Amino acid sequence: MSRLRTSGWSAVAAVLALGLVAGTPAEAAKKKKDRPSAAAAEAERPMPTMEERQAVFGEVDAAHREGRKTQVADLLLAITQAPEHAVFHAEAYARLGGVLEELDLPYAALIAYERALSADAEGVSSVAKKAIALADEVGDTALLEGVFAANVGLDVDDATRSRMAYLAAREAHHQGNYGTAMAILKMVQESDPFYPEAKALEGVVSALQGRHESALAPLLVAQATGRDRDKGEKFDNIINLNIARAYFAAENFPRAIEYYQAVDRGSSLWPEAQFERAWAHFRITDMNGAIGVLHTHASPFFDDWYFPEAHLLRIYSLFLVCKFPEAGKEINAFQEHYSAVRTELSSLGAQEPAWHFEQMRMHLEAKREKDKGELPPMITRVFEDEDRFNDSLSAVRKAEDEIKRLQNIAANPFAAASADWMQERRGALIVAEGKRIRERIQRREAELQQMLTDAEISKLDIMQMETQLYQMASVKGEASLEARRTVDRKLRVKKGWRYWPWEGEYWADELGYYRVTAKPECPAGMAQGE
Amino acid sequence: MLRTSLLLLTGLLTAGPALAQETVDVGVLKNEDIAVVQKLLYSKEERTEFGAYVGWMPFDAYTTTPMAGIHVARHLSETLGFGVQLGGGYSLKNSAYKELEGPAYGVSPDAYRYLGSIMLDAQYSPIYAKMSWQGNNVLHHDIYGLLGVGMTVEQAMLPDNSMAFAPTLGPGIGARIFLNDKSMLKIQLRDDLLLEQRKKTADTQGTFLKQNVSITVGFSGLGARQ
Repeated sequence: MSRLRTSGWSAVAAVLALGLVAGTPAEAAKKKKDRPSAAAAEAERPMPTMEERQAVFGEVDAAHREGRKTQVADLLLAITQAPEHAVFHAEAYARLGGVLEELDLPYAALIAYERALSADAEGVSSVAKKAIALADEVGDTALLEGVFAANVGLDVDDATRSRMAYLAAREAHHQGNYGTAMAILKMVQESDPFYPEAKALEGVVSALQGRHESALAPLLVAQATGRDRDKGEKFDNIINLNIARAYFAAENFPRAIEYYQAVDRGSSLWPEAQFERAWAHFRITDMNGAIGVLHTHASPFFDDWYFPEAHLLRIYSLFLVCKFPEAGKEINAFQEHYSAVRTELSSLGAQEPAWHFEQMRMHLEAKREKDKGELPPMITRVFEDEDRFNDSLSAVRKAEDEIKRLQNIAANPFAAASADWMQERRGALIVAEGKRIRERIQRREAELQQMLTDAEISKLDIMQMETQLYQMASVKGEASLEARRTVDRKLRVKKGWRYWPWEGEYWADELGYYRVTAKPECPAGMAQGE
Repeated sequence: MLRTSLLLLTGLLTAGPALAQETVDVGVLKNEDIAVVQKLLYSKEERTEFGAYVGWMPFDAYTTTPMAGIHVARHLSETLGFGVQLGGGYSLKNSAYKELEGPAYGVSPDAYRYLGSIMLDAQYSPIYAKMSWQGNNVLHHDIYGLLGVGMTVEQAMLPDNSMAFAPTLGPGIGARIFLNDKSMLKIQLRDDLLLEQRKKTADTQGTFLKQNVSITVGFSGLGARQ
């Protein structure tokens, strides 16, 4: 049975490592192809003279003075495409971003600014602020994370630098550069609107570095400042869950339980918090506590959720209070249920990422149940409330909308180029998100395969112990076991609470309120697993 | 020997069926091992209830009465509360009354029309329960009994239109279905017993005991705990 413990513990650690607060598409930093070369290469060139600059931008300036915006955009695009004008690419992209903004093409403008910053961040540092504002508008801050991570020391105003630092830290966290992320996060100012998120990320990164106790302080600051700034219940619940995880990892299980309980019952994180809370009860050898909490997950309301580890933890808890027949029954049910789930996951995992994204999109956008796509609820639940997926989906929608609008002026070279940029970005987001969904499916399938294999061995253990239990009961008599069970176990019910006897029915409103007071039935001579 | 045989036989007779029925009842989680200890989702204690209702008095022999009203109650605890109910309505002649008035009988019964009432009620709600609506939604509700004292104003339907102010004792029963923490649907059946003085029949019978049985449905709000 130690296999169960190992598997469970590693899964909790993995959950902790998820870092719910931070999350951005990994591809953001990879979009460097077809871009102008880096500043280092350009530094080798001599600074252009005013005459040279005038020669390149003269026509642009003239068109701009006359208000011919589309022509200005076309001319600037031509400069960015001319290798001989490489030294002016950053400026051309920056000016193109401005024109695209004026043409009400925010996504195209954002991409132009990002290209300007990638080409020569120092030279066009003033566009960083505009780029952040546009990224917020279109919901694609991930696009800037890579370029900010590479240019965090840019000469900009304090507020912009603070926001850049947060985005850069997210990128560093995403790349697994935790030390860098921690250092950059120190640059986020308290007055920054994203300060609570930055502190939360600091806590998550500390936890990922294995410094669980150090994670608590920033998480508590994140919670306090988040409440002050009305970040909302969702943020508060995420922080409660992360604090609980930090306490759990620091092996302060009672405090962990307290924070797991603080996750709001109406939150989509609640089932996960309850499951992890059961682990905390288990770790303090409160088997009844663990079984009681997990009674919720065993209810039919969670039939189409993905909680195999909760089922195994329940089985293990039952095992440790010598409820071997019950544990045996449960492990059979586990195998039957999750074998079918594994088969389903296996077939879903074979699809292409774009298919996963499309199915998830259908799930979120369809009005009728039958149009909601082919992804099962155990997968859609993970992503439907997730900020990162929803931000990416929103960005994809905005890109599609803008591409459609650009079709009206398709004859202009800048329109075709902008549409291409957005198609490229849209495709990258779709693949990135689709991959994340597929990876989740594949990870679950692999994890299930392992659990099902382990369950076979656990089943043998349980059968063996069950036989011993029956043998002892038959030799020593059941009376001694009965005496243990008939100990008075009245629950004291506080004022404002109601006691309902359990009669085998599951009521939706009772989920999370189960109490188990089972007595261990380990006969003398058989060690009780506490 | 005989005693031994008898004992053996007795043992077989008693042990046989018992063994057949016994199951080994160890190592399983029983229903009594599990309980639901649930935070009371909808608490009334130290809160003020206020609301409005509409209803009908359908059971009178000669009248049928649409009615409406408002009520306020203070809940001292989850089970005990006191309140005021102010109602008004207008009784109409029912088919029996019209038949008696018609050419076949040509008489007008001495019926009194309900106009209004004010009742001071004590409420006792020992039952807090929940029900499942189509297997999906769970509705929490309480069942309460009430007893009120007050005054009912009625008017004769005969042409003299004389008024009667009747001391009233009103037992009743009702249920509050909680819609959320601050609002509820209230269904109530009450039987107001009126001791009515009718001046025009004082010579023959001055005092009448009348029953106004009403069924009401209302919407109530619950204020903050104070």
